[in-house]
Amino acid sequence: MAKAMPLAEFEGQVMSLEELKAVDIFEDVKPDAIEKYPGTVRKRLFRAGDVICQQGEGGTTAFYIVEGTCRIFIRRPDEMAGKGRGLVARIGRALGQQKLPSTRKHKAEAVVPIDASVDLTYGRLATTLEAGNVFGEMSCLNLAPRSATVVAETDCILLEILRNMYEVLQRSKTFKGRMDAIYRERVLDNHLKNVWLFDGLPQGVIDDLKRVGELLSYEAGKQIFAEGDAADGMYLIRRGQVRVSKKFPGGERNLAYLTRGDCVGEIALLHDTPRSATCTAADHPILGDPGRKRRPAQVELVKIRTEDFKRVIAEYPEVRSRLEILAERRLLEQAEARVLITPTVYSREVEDLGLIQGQNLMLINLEKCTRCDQCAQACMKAHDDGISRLIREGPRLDKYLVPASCRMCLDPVCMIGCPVGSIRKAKDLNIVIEDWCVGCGVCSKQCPYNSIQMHTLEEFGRHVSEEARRVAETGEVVEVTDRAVVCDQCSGLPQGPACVYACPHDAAMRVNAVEFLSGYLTSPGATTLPSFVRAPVEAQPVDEGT
Amino acid sequence: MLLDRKHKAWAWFTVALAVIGALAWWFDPEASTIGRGGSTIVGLTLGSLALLFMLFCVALSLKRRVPHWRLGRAQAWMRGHIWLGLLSVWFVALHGAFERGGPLTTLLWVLIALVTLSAVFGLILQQFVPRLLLHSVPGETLAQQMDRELEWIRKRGEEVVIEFCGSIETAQPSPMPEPPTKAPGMPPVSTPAHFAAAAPAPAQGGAAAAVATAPPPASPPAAAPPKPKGPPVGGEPLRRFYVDYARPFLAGEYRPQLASPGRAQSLEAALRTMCPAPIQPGIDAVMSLCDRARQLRRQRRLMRILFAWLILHIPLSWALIVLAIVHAVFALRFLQR
Repeated sequence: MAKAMPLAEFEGQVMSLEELKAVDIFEDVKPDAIEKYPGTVRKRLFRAGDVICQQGEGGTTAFYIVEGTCRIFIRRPDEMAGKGRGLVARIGRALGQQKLPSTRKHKAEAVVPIDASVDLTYGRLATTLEAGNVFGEMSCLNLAPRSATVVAETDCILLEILRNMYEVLQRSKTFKGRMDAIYRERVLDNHLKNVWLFDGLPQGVIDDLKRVGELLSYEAGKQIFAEGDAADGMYLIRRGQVRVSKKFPGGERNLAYLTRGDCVGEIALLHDTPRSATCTAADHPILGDPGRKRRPAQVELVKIRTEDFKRVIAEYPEVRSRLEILAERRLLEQAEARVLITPTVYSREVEDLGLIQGQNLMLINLEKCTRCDQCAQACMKAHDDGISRLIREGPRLDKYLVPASCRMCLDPVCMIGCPVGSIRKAKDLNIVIEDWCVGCGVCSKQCPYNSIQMHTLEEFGRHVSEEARRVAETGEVVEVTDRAVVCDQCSGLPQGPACVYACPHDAAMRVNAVEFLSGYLTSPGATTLPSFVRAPVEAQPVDEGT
Repeated sequence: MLLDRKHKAWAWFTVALAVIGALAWWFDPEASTIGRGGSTIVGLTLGSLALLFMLFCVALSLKRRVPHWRLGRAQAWMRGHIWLGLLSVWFVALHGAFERGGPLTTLLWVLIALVTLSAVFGLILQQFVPRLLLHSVPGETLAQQMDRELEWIRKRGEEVVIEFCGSIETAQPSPMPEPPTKAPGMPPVSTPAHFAAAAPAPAQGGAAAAVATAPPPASPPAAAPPKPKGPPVGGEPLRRFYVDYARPFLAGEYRPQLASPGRAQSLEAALRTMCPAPIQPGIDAVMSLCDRARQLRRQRRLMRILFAWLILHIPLSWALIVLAIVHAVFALRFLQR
């Protein structure tokens, strides 16, 4: 699991200055910069079929392919086993009873971001990396777990690079130019098509947008744009994370963390409205060694200016009207998903428990609860993987238990650092974990409320695919063994969350924490909390970033 | 289920049906010819309704097997279970004209009485046991986790004592002299003699409490001795306390001195007076483990009480429903003749 690889495993032949200068990407790197970090680049030879790194494991190095080709892929268990096929389940299906799928299906072209100079698509979670490509950049710079498995397709020569030398490389024009070119050529196309606004646009428009896109770099912590600024275009995230925040009467709140392939500010391309939220380049969490000092990470973006976009679109009048309809619909959706933000400060207890984070907080009234466990049983039975997303344990607030179950936090810190962008915020504000999760456990560690659990795939009752079984038998690569599981609020069930629906004692409830606390504090039975909570203020609808 | 204001509608509905049933039974037109009871149309209707209500009540246990199915909210089912179950008893009484009847109906009556009594008992328990759990077991855990947690507590207890006393089985030689049994200015404490004997005393004949609670005298930083390795001295009373009381208690044996929080506190106070300051965190840890173990055992006891009535209620309910169906089949056959 996601542990930083010890430096002792940094093997291979140490590259001398002369040898490095012979490699094209080091051509314009100053010799003293190379000599400053001796032994930080090693030459590694891999035979065809050798595993270079595996998804989910820790890593501290980046790889540059000097010769040969590598196959990079994510494994995904893809078949449901016997669970949900019993007599009761069959009767249930015949009676129209639903179970929630543990995974959501996507379009084959949907982008699955990985830590390499290329990305994967949902339909085909594998691609080939030729000489001149890089992978493992985020592991090297941010200690992120390996996002994919890489296997040598032919005999390969790779350079394995430590962070300090990789940072030197990033300042090299040759290296940066090459990476930018690869990005424009192989990735930007997919990223643009992945933006809902550009979905289905003619290839000509996409090609034009690729041409006008401006590649930018921001140091972590730097503001990309502020709320209220005039909108001048949209940003596509090429590398790193972007934090979306918004000011409210009670202070600034983080609303989302976006990652590679996501975009912000797209509505600004059609509507000349000021930015409704602030976007800041965010750093990754340092995994494994919190005391380790390091430079802030770089967040790379692609900016498409409004005027460039309008100029491109002017050539396709039929596209413009379609885009305007889409933008209107998107605005309406956001208006429906309004976020309630508290305007004031709560007691220390409430803050410590993180209750005000909960937009859909699960509470169990312990005066009514007979500990029959029906809530957890219902959760288990409502999902086709047979795993309960609810653990009936947690802190107490007066007579209420706050069990471990996703509370749809206002500040979803669990989204920070996923190496494959598989944890997302859905339209209905739910946190969802896509099925290309590599089981690294970063989200589980990031969640402050233990609401994301790691489960072994056997618990999912899944078969591995034939190919995966073959690979596992021959010992070539390790299968994905774990998967993160988070409460989906049963958003697909018409009766609402199964835990609440199945509680026979009227003890389980799902509440908006702010509304609940406000009502609770003014009720005559309130005993524990101080009464300095004012009524909540309803915020403006938030377009992530515009 | 807590009987609160949400039951009001159900209660009124039940009372209304009970009154309607009673009126229909009282003014039964066939009563003057064939007498009151299950043979009349009204009696048969009341009996059929009672059977339907019983079937509904039993269906709850089936519904619990598919809690996610869209068959209505579980709490509505539970309210129906309580009130319709109660109503069915009244309808059965009307149906049987308050008579015992033959052997089968007598058996049915016994079962109805047992099922109803166990249900009422369970309902009463549900009114206060959850509150008891809430207030007396702040560190409540999942029932499935209890054994594992008790095992962890037991192991942790050993670790703490080894950390502070060096060894559990052998006495640690104490460099300090015997303590006085009562500290000046302190209320007398009931110190168990056999571990009080091993307690250290203040170095200059002062109060044992002073040794236990006062901060160490200020000394110039240059004169500070190097931190000694190994357990601190003066842990013998803690070790004896652990061996004689805490360990058996954590292992599940009954120890009245630790079974109640009040007695445990007085024992703790006595122990504290006999141990020097470096041992005090060890006492904190051991007492906190004892407290946790006490809470878990209390939780287990309360949960057993909370669910024990179901051992009687569920099988008897099934037996009742089977016999009630048998009774209905035989009665209908008899009527056809």
